[in-house]
Amino acid sequence: MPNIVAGLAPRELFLAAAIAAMVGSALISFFLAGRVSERTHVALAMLIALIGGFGLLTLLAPAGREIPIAGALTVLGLIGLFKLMNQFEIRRKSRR
Amino acid sequence: MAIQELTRPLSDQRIDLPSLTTGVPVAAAAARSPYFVNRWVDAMLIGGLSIITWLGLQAFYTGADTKPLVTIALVLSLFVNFPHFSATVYRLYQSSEHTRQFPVTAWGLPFIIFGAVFACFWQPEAVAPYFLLLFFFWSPYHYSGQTVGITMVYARRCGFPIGRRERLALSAFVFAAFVSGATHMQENGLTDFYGMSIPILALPAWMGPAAEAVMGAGALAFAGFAVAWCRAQRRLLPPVVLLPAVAHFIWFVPGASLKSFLIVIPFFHSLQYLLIALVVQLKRRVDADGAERSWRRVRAEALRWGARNITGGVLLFIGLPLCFAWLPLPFLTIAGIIAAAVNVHHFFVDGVIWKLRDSSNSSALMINIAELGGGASAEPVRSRPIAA
Repeated sequence: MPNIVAGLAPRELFLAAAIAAMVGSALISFFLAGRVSERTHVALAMLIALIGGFGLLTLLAPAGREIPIAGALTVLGLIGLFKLMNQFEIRRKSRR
Repeated sequence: MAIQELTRPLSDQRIDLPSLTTGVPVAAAAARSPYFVNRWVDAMLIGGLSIITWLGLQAFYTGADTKPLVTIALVLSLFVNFPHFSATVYRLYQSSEHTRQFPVTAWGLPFIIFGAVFACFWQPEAVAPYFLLLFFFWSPYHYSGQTVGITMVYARRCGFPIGRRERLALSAFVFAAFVSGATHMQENGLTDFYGMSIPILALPAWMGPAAEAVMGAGALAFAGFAVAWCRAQRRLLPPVVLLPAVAHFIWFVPGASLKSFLIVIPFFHSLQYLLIALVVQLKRRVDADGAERSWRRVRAEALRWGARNITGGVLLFIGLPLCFAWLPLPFLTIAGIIAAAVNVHHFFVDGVIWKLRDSSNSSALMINIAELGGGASAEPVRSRPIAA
């Protein structure tokens, strides 16, 4: 196990930690089922999206430093993430 | 600041939002002062001071040496920028009722932010630059949201109704200005933060012009709505309604190519914020105490709130990095990572505190500070009538 970890690049180590954080958040949401409001579950899901988004940024942004279209997609992806986070833990209209 | 959210009624909104939602009688709104303090103070804090500063720097200080300005900006940060972050934290955590309304923001988010901070400390080469990149784009996006929000607050105060079309035009202008500015800054602007390099993205050549085209279309459409309103009302729109958007344009379009100006933009953003946050805090305290309104009370509460936020700001931006000074990293790097984290935390907290089930949020956005001091609203709308 220590050999496997030692063989990982710093970015891979970070991505492993990010995936662990995402799994942790998903498990918290799972174990809180029925005990907290839907809004709290949505907020936990958004935290997972945030961690995943940041993980993708660290993984793909280096390509955005070389390839213009990847750079544009990175900016658009970030704006989409910010727009999503703008809705963090707010009361949403129910769709009936 | 997510003030604009207050203008959007929510499904289970319990707070009373008569002045800010759709049912505002235009005449009633227009009969009140459009200003929180008065014409000059509001105009300066909301954007006038930033425009004057930009003009001054453009005329007298276009050099590349930004050290004197960095020093001035650091001193001002202690009294304006840092307290603006502290004010959001204080507002969320000042009562358990507030934290209960937003438990994930209050108690879950700090763990995630600290996780990102520790990841940056752990991998300063692989992770920290991208955390700074996230902050670098999120910050002007957040400023854009505040510009839209403040414009809507002043529009409402002046009786200029902002519906879906007006909001779309305004948002197109403001957010496209941010994209234009961010594109420009990536090319040749501010790309270092506390001595750390922010990664520069290679952006396609069409991105800047495309953003400017959207910005121009948004400006034209919004100007059209304003002109139509002026013709229908037979009076001019008070300039304060347009001032936040004009200032925002200066910050991100011509200002983006002036490195010395980029350093002070956060100061002007914080000034806007503190004006409105102070009024909301004063209203909340005065309403809570239920005692007689007086200028003495307003001054005392303002000083108390200011002192707490200055202290809080110092703790966030100086105290917190000092707690990690033992790490084998340059202190400036530690301070920069913590500063970016405090900013990201602020973007979240700011998004929720204006949605607290608290009537002072909404009603405070329609009052004049003179009302809190026991006097009548100082300055009703007196925009110039248009000659027939």
